[in-house]
Amino acid sequence: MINSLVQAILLGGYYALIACGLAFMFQVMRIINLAHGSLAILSAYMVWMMTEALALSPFTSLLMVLPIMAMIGWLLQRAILERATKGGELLPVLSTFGLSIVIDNLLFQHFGANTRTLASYVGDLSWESYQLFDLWIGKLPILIFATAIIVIGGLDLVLRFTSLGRQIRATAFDPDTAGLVGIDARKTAAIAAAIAMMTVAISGSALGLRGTFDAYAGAPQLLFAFEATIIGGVGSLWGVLLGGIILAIAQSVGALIHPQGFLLGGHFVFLLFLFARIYLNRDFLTLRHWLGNKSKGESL
Amino acid sequence: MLSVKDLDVRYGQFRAVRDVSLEVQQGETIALIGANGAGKSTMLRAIAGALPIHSGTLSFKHRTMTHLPSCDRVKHGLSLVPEGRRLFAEMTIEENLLLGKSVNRSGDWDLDRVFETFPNLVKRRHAKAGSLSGGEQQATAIGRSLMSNPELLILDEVSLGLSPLVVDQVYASIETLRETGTTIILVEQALDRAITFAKRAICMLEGRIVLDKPTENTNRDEITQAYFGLQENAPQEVS
Amino acid sequence: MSIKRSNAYSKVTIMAVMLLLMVLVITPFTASDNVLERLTVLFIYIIMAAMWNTLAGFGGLVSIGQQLFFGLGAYATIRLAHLGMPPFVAVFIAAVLVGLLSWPISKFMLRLKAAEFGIGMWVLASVGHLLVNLDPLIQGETGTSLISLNAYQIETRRVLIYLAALICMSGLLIGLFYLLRSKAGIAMQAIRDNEEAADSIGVDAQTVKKWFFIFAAFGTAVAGALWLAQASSFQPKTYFSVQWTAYMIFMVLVGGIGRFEGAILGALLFFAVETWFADTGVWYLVGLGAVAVLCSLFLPKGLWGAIESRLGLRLIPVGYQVTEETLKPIKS
Repeated sequence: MINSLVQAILLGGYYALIACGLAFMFQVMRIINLAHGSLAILSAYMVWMMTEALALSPFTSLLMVLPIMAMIGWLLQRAILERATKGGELLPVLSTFGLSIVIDNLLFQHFGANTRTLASYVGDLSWESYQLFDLWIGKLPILIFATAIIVIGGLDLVLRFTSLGRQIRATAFDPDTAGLVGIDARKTAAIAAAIAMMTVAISGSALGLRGTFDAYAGAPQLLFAFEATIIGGVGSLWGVLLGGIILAIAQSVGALIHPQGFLLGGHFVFLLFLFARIYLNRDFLTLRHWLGNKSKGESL
Repeated sequence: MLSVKDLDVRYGQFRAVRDVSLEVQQGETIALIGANGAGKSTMLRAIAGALPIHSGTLSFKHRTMTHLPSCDRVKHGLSLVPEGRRLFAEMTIEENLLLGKSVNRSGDWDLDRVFETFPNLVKRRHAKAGSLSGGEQQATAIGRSLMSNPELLILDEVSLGLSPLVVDQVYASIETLRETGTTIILVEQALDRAITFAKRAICMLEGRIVLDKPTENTNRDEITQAYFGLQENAPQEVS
Repeated sequence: MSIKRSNAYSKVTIMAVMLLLMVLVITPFTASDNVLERLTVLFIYIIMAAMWNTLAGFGGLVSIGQQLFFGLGAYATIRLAHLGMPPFVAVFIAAVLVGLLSWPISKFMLRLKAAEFGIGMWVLASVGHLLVNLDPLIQGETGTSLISLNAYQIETRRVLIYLAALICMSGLLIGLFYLLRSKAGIAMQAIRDNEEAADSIGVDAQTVKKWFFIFAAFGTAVAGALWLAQASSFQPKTYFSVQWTAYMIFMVLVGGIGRFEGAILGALLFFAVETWFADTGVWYLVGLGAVAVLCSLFLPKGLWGAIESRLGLRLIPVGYQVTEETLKPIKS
């Protein structure tokens, strides 16, 4: 029991890792990037390719993929998001969703239907465990959890205490005034996107180390990231860590209840949090709320 | 130093600023006067780059910057303190001020000097800008602009919503600025104060400049007439 | 200046539509089996595009989870047919049930904004998929078939499904037409064209959105149920795939989001593209995604929007037309 709780918390670390980039972009640019999951899978494939071709450790490959993903983030912002956000709040959704379809299918075209993993390149790390009292805790999940804390902590410190962080926050708060103060809002947004994509590269590698992935694995990652972000309360990076953990625990509980309940458990808790966020402090249990608008509706 | 030619700024179909031309020399202090909706803020925001210029040209220090983004104009020494302060409410005074340093222009202004000029900010240095009083906010907004070491400082509605005492303080600090040679354009609703402070008065009416004279050659009555469009030679509205 | 509801084009259009309908009704007696089957598919695409357009183009709601209603429509048909209901009745009742279900969902989901709504719907679709998997009748991902259709002879069945699709498509398009011409529909279009108008029009946007949402859910469920009828087998994974929404988005974006004619044009284009390029497999999907991205960035009103503004052409009068010059501000 305690064992599965610990496992769930560590899995939550992975969810937090994949979610923090999404939450970061949402905070800074008010965009939910629907290609987030697909980009994570893209970076997992890139790490896999370098590891395979150059006989490197996946960690070294990741170091090389980081700048590539940063560049992709920069381009993504400049070529797509910047233009899309000017056209209202619907276009970013549509264009990033279109992008995810392109990425998924290109990956499928190139790599086929076989699943890949990075676990086989790290030797013992993928199955070694620490023993803590009666518990066996995998080294890799611990590493991923620690990485999540470092990444989120790092983002938090950058946002709080650096000049770049201040500029990012100012741009997020009021881009027009940020410009008047002398902040290059376009550049700041592009840098933020680049940073977000670096976290995506890290989470993609984490996914590959934990298990297997294939070309179409992006969509569930996007949903996990989104759920963790919402559960954690949009707008706080540390909340994302908590959200990831809650999501993972909910999934584990779901799996305990029913063999197919893993995903459902997560979805239900997500909906519950959404429900709470929307209806808290509201009279949502009264009949009036559910029937209140009816008379207006019938006038259609 | 600032040269505006045939400036036209529009909101959709509406021409908020119509064919305005304006020359500003180094070291001038100018009071911009006009009723609400006369186009003052629109013109200043267009000069600062916060609004797109529909037609006409804008140059600053002999450099054309009609379509330059606002951040680049700050880089060249043109800074606007926007109407309503527009501070970053979630950030502290100090952070707001430091943001003004984003362009890294060299000059005398730094955190210490701003706090020296606005001693009332020192105590609140780590308070969130959203929690400040009107006077403190205005001081922070001015300080934020000063941090970029501007050569031309534009202050939109300097004293709006401030108590007379605070207005005095703010003007005292702008006075010190003027002594350092900074060129200043300010929007002021209190006519007397505007005339006493500025060396040149510009009055706008329905998007046009209807009066532009040194303050010593004009008087309250003339400006008031221009303000309401009562001059004999006031341009007729077309539409 | 004059404001008109219909124009010369529209009258011609109505005649043409009547004629087209008549041709389509007698088609089964002349066309080959293959043509009939392809036309059935086309009708379903038009329904899907028009429904997603209702939601996104007129309601301003981008849903990535319309496969929820598509899948549920098919699933409910299976369930009802299993209870002994005749298959074509089951198709209709299933869609009504899904439409009813969408009412409480709308209460909840419409409080979300933009992308949150979009992905939230996607999560709901995933929930629907997983729950349907739990039904023993479906046998998990193995799926099942609409066996009761086998009662009809294969030729009869083909014609019946064709006619059902034709009727559903015409009915839904006419329904959408009147929904858009209602006071609320006009208001929503005004809001779409000019955000600031939202407050001054005095129509509760939220209520109208709710009706658009329910209508789209109903229509999409019809499409899902019809798809089941023509494909006859049901695997949850196929029906609850996000691909359906991707197709809808492609059709609407290319054809012209928020244009009544746009969705139909988009469906025709998609149908043509599919007919010619589906053999290219994955590249075809890459192309669809890329075209969707490009359209949303460079042609946000789609092909029909471009045609409309280029030629001033409007075939189907769902909005008001203002002729002569732009309104001049009135000065007192």
